[in-house]
Amino acid sequence: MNSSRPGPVILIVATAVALFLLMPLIAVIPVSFTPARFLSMPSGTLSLRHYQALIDNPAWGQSILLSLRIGILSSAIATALATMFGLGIWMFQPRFSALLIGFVLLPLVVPPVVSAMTLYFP
Amino acid sequence: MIGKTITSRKILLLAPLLLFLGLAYVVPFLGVVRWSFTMPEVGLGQYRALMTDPLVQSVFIRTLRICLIVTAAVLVTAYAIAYVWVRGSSVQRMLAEFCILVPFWISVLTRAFGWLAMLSNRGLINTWLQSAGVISEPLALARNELGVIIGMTHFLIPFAVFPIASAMRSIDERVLLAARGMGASRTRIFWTVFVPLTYGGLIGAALIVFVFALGFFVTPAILGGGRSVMVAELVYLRIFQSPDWGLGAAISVVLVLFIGALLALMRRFIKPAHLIG
Repeated sequence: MNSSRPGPVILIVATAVALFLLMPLIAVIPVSFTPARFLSMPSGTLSLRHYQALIDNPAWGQSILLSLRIGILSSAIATALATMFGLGIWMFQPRFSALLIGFVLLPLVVPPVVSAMTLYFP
Repeated sequence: MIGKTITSRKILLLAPLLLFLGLAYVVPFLGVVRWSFTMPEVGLGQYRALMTDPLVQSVFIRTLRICLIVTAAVLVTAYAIAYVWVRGSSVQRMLAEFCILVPFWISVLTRAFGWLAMLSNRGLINTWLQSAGVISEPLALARNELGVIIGMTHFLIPFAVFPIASAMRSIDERVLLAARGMGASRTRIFWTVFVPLTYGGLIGAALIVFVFALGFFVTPAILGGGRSVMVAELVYLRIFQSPDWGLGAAISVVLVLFIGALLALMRRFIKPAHLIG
């Protein structure tokens, strides 16, 4: 359908949006080579000191491993629970399906900080 | 007998998630609700404080203002890129998809620091503008409300693209052909036929963006630099820094009630499937 191809105006706007979306991700790369201790653009000299720190300081390695472990475990549990629930809804179409689905989507709309506080409760 | 096995299977499949959420989420949340009435003393004191405390009021107003601005900015930008993603040539579609999905998968923290690297006083934009001689003093782009709005808009665009693109995809091509056949110009077709047919997706996108924005924490904390605190950060500060659990709990309850009311009000516009795309 040639007639509904994006026109020049929308292409210009979309290009600007695309650049906007990629910009901060690209900006992170030069910053990682800064010789300074604080978040800054390298001026003149590049340095690998932050990568060196990543390897030398055991705290980084430990926290990366911890992140991996928590990520794998929680995604496995979440996928298992959600798959069973999804199958159950699909196979049996129980009464109040919509209500049940709304209920399980609750954590999606509750602000994360409220969820975090909720988990602090016990 | 058969009825019995079906019931037991049904329970076996549905119960674990419901039970998990009930025990790990609903019950503790009720505990938070109780705190809001009992800490530090029994009564409505925290809610009264919440209605009168000028700091809390200003945070609520700032949060609403930021969320409205961000929602408007996200809808316009997401619509443009969604249009190219759905209706562009195959190369355009691929590029748009890349620009939507790559930020989507990257952690909120990385994206906030990326923006800090762009916007801060020694950041990319100020360095460039200064070395080009356009400005002599760095522009205040981060550690204020502008930085928060830029960072949040960036984070939320993909969440709006999915429902909008899903609405665009479900448009019947023949309607557009008919409009064309009757002599409507491309601009006219876009504004009077195409856009109205995507209102459902736009409303869903606006709602999800607004609700997500209300609970934003990381981006305002990093890009606001403590100067433009939003409500989620206020809850955090009340709980973890100035131990004032009662007020933090009361703000949480009000926030959840507000989101619940908003979703209930807009219920007939939302299809859960649309929200995720």
